[in-house]
Amino acid sequence: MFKLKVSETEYKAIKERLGLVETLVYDYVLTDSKEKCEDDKVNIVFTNAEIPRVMKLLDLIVKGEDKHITGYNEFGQKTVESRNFYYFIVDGDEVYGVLSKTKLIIKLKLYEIEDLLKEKEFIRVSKYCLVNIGKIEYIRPAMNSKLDLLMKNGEHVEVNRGYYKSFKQALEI
Amino acid sequence: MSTILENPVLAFLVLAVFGFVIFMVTKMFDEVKLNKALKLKQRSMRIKGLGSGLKARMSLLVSATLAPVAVVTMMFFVGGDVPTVIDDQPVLGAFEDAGDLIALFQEFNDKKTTADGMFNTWRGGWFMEDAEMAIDEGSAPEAENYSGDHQQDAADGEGSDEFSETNTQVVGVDEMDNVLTDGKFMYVMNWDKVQIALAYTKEGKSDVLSLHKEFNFDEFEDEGEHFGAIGMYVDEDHLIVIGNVYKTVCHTYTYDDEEPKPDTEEDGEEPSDDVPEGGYTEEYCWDYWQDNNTKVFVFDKHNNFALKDEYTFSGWFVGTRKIGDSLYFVTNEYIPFYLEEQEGVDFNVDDYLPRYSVNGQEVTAEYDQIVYVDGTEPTNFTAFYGIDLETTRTTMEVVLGEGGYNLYVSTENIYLAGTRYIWNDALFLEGDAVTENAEVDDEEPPYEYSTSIIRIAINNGSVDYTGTGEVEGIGLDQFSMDEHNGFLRVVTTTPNWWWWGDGEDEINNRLIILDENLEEVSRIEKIGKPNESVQSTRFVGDYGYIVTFLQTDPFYVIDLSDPYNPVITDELVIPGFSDFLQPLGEDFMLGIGYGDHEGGTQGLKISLYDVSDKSNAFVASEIIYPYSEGDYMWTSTVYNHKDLLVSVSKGIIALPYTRNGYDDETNNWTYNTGILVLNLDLDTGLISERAKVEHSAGNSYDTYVYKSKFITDKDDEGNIVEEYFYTISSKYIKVSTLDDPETILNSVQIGESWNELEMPVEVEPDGSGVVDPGEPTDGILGEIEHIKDWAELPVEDGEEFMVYVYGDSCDECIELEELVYEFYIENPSGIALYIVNTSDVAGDAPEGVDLDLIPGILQFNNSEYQDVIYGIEQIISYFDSLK
Repeated sequence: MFKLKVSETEYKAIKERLGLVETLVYDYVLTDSKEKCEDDKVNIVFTNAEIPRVMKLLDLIVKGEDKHITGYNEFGQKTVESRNFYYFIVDGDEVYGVLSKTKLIIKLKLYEIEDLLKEKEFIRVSKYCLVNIGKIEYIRPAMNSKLDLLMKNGEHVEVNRGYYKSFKQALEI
Repeated sequence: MSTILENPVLAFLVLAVFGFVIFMVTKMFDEVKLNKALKLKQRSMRIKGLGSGLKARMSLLVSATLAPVAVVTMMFFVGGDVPTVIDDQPVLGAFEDAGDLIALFQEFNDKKTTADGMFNTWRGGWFMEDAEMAIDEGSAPEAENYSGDHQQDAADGEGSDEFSETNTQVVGVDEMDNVLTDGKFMYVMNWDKVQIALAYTKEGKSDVLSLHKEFNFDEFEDEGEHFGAIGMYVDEDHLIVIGNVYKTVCHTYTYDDEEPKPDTEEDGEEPSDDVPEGGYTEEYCWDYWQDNNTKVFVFDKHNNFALKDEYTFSGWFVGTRKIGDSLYFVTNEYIPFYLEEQEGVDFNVDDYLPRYSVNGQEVTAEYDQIVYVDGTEPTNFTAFYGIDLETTRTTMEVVLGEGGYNLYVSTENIYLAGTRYIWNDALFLEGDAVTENAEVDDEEPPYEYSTSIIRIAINNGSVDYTGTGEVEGIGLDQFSMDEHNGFLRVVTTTPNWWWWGDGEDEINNRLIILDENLEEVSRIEKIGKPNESVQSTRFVGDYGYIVTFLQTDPFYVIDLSDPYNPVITDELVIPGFSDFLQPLGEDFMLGIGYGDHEGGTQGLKISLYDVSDKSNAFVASEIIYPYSEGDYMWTSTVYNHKDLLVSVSKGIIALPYTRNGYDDETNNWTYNTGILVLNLDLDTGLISERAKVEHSAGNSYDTYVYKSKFITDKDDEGNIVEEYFYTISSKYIKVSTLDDPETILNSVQIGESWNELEMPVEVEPDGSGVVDPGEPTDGILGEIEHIKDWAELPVEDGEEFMVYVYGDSCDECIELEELVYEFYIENPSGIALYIVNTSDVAGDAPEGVDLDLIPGILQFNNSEYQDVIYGIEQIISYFDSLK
């Protein structure tokens, strides 16, 4: 998505400060010099002092618009930004949105949620479960070509065999 | 090579190991690839704070891969030697004075500090056993008499000789409880009071129901002391109330003029200049309860509950039991050895020696009486007390150790289970070199854990230390232990420390049988399916019943009639699981836990297991209250067995329930609480719902239901006339009959509504459309003083300082709250830190500051704004660099 074009000496430091991941194919050029701009790309020209602001901008570009999902638990109704959900799971007749320590009942079908969040790096890992890639702590391959995902809240989610391939694709392997 | 070829077994082994290594390497490769891709993906998603479990995981996998190689190699050179286990014996009476004890602690602590550096493990916490509804504050028993003349006459009447007693683990060993009856009175521990209600007399039947007396422990002898009741016993002669007494303690520090105040030193700030010459003293009173006692009041029932005896035991309450006229207590006192190194603190181990007093006569333990079990952390005095209620004779036994967490008492012994360290002594021989080699030692941990079981023999109110046994793993609760014909049966679990470990071998549930010398005679390993852990255990005579759980609920029946050879006779697999098992005679077992109709755990489930045929247990009957849309039911009996009322002869089961639901018509959340009464028919093996006795009014959370009791009304010939059924909550005592529990005959209010616990705000029931998420709650940062106006910042002074800016609508700021809070409190940087909530600050920000960059750290110096550190990761590493 991004390409960073700054002087050799500063390249590493700036890349680190921006928390940037570069890709071979890119739409955005980040540079500290107008001369390095590329014609068919979006160019962001900045000075060192503006790095924090550029970071904010990158966050906006990558994370996109906030998408809120409404659900409820015994204490009432809550509206939560989608990035905060660890995963969505069907249990019985209900769809639950799992947060760090609590879960909300969501009045949407799982495929509706999937559709709603298709831009948001959520990935289907089984018929019943939609996982936030950003909330995975660790992946452990299990014996039966399944994957065991440890989420950042300590819970485990399983990637079913049928979804193994698309999961790997989502990780761009 | 020729050895291998000549020996087919060895050849097979080598092949197997080779195959295993290949397999593991592939697996590792896969795993590394996947997780690297995940981290990269998350980085490109600009997710902050990436974990790095990979390294630890890889070192574990590598060790797991190399382990069999190492074993096979060793077999070549050594030839199958089995590692030996160090056997430590308890040291008895080895202390002469406090110095011995401090030396022991130092030695232990040195070992542990070194060890903790290399190896982090979890250990079970210490907990207070079966404390009932705790009470705020209070003090000396000051009785309030409710009875007018008329009622006093009624109270003179005679009670019934048949009534429900506390549901205890061991027949004949009473456990304290929060609601009791003696066939005439109902005793209720209700928040800050102990209330005595007249419940039944032969003459007045249940019509006499009224409040008779109330103890609120209000006026105490000493300033700054607080009494909180935690449980009661009642017998024919006494009402016994047990509680904790807390005392706040102050320390006086003296500073000389050279020395800065300790707190400023900790903050990393410069010593303040205004230290007066010649030093000064300052008094600090700790907020936490440093000094505490367990107090026991014995009231005389024959003298209208006048105070008869008063006992005090030092230390925190751990547990208690009562057998006939003998009362037993276990308390725990933490010894703050760290105080010894603090200057100006007068630390003396003598102050922490267990002591007790009977009606004001104080006795303190002697050093040479103290028992120490080698390997246990010597930071607690655990004291065992036995009391003869008639003569007030009290005996004491003190064990120095880590403090226990599970108390089981049979009619003959007290068993207290605690954690014990087994030191790998070889690692400590070379002293400091150990730390440097730390990382290599993954395969050889510096210590392991086991459960030590201290046994104290009890007999007519006297206690006597008779030994300590040791078992692998950790016990679940008091029901995990059982003594039968001189053998102690223990069920323990070795939990899965390493979540990623390879399935089958990790969690290990064991049954271990110890003989009279607390030596192991037999065991069963790996009870349960892979990765399941024990949920509940119960022993009945020659049989043990164990429920394990992961996805389904295997219910195991174990034949223990030959203690040297226990056998699993049956395994019954059913959905859901039982958290508590209640034996109903020899043939039935009641399980209370979770389960639903779809094979999950989304419901409250009460099951009756028929175990009459030990090789073919089956579910005779079950009742399920499934959860549905925002509606769920719960019972306190899953963790407190004493809340369960069960009578086979009367054919009933009664348990408190709480139901949260939603009323579509009124669009309100509802809260119902009361007692659920079930029919129990062991002839047909059926349980079914009989009634629900409700105690909550409307939808307010104003009532807590304690439990139910029955009192049987008989005529002069002893024929049963009526069975009165009492349900007790924080607000009411209601009486009905067992035949018709819902028709309330009489009721008395004993408590007020909890006004502060009103219903939460009403909400829209449906999830359509976006609803205002409401006011954000104050996070932990709310506790810190904020800059409320930008003008308050000392920009003009020219000093260097930082400002942490965050906002209410900033999701990421939430993740930093705790870190910033800690940093603010400790502030190791020496640079002043101010906090600004951009949603709650007046005035204009200093020039150059961009308030869109939150969370951020603004840096100021030379009277000017310099730069901003923006973003979670950046702030974290900036804080790190300042430390």
